Amino acid sequence: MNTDDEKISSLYHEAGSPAPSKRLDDTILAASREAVDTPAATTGPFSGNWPAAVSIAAVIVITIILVPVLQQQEPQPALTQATSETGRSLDAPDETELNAYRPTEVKKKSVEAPSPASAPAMLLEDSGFSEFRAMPAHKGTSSSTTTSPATDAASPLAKEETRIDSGTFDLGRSRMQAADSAPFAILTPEMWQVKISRLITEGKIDEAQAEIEKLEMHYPEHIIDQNLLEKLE
Amino acid sequence: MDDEISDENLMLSYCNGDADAFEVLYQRHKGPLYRFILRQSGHDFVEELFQDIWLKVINSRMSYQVKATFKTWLYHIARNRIIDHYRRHNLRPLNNDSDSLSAISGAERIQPENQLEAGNQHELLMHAIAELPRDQKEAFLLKEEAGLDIAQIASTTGVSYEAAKSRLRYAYKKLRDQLEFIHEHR
Repeated sequence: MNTDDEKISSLYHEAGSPAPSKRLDDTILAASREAVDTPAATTGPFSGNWPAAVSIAAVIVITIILVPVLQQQEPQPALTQATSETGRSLDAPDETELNAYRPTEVKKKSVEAPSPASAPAMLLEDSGFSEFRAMPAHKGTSSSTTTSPATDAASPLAKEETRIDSGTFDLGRSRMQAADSAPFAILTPEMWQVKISRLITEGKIDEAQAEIEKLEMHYPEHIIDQNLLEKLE
Repeated sequence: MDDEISDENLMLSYCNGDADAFEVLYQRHKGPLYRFILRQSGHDFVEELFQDIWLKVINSRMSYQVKATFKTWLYHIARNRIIDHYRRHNLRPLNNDSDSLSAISGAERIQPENQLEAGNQHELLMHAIAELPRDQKEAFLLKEEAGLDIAQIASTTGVSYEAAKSRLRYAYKKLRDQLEFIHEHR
């Protein structure tokens, strides 16, 4: 700023200093005091921060909705513990056990499967019944209707699967072994019925009757296979 | 005592509920701010705008953060309110058209012969200021009334440092030329 500019500056400030009226001062100062004296009306916990309030509300709503759903989907503690002890999945054996109890369905399922070479193997591995492969097969009853030439030539597993499909393998027997070795807690109604069926076959009628009573007590809503009851009678 | 406390600390004290701090702040800035508005909007609107600006300061107390000087923040609010005022009343947009400046300031354009008759140097200066292009007048008032330096003027008006400096330089030059012209014709 040169001297000429300073002259203008000093001249400007000498020109007078209009100021707001007293009434205007009082109005503004009263407004400032009123704003401070009534903070609650304008300053809630989330005032000026509505995104945080909305986020918290959304989390609460989602939690309230999802927690009951997730609790329903969790497995029962006893079953979970048993699974960890045996190292087996509960879901897969159930399906296999059901098939084992009804061998005709196993055969039908294998024929209809789009990939007969792989599906039964998967089924066995998933279910944990790996001992099936170690057990001797009954020769002479195998069927080639469900096995492709490629699987016959390529994989030794394919032959075993063919044996399973044809009913040469005693699934029921293996299922009963599994039922015997399984802890009480993991017995599903189907497995329990397998066990009872085995006891009947072995002539242990009293034990079978006791197992049925246990089964009814443990699974009161389960409908016991009529064939099993007829055998017992 | 009050002068020792910075504007920013006073505003923070007011944010924490100290109404007396606001009063000190108000007393410090009311005059310059009032004149800053008056020179740009005229007498008809100065009180309305002045009150609105301080109410904005009061209502912004919960979100106030010390990112710049209080003065820069205050005049930024004031400038926005004045621009909004122009927009609402369809007075004129921000441009360098000096012909309509007299209407904004309420001052009448003074011809040289009339200026000679006026004889009052201060009054002549005020008329010369009213005739300045708006951005130059704004820069001049921010310098003279608010006491902002060039960097603060640039920050408040949202232009580069060089642009602010240029506006200020042209403003002083025009005022100087006007006064010299009047002086020569005396």
